[in-house]
Amino acid sequence: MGGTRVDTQMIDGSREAGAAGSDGSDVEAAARRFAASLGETPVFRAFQEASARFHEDEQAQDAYGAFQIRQRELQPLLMLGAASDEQRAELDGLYESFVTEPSAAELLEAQASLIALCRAIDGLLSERVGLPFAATCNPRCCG
Amino acid sequence: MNGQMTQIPPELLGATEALGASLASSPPFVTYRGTQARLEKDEGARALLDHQAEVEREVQKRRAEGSLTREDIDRVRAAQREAQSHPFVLELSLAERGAAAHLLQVDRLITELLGVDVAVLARAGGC
Repeated sequence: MGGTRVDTQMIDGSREAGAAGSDGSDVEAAARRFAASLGETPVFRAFQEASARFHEDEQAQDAYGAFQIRQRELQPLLMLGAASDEQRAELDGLYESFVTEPSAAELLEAQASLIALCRAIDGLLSERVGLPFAATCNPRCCG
Repeated sequence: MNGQMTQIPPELLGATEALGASLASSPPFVTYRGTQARLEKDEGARALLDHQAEVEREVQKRRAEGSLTREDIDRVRAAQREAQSHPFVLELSLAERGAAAHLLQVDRLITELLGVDVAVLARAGGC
């Protein structure tokens, strides 16, 4: 997978060498165990399977593409509250066509379950570390 | 947070608890909690932070009412500057940044391993 390389020096927090507590390998190993454990949950697997089915479904992809293109075109008007009733109805129709595709509906349902699980994890981790995990790692809101 | 809390499966719960404990005892978080404790014992620092929070609340309210002025923004900035001039507040702010950077690196590792970002998903559809 592309993207950001992980700085293991940061993960071990070793800039403060000699401090008491877990060392870097503890945190990294715990993060790896956590990822493996989340990856094995039925919720995560269902999401992965639904995602693969959706990406292989041309009809669903076309419906999604059509909705996305029109949404992007109308975004400035929607943000200003200046879209006409006709434009809103057209966008609603395209959205409806997309979400009623069986593989899309399945993916959205699986995604909603994964989101709920991630929120529960966020609540617990935030409580344990004393900082809001998701808000710290993803300050740009909302989705 | 809205609605019912989803149950975390037992094995994942254990792994999440272990990650939380490991992070909490890592140097950046130990430092963060130490600076927090020092600040909480210091009345002067607390008073400055309380004042900053109060000004921010007032200005937020004015923003929501649509009556925000240039002076309001200046007032927030002045309160923030004043608070940050206290050594314990500055120390806490730096420690928080260190802990946040550590957390972000861990999130990136998890994202790299899973192919999805737990933090992004946790905030999807509203905060």
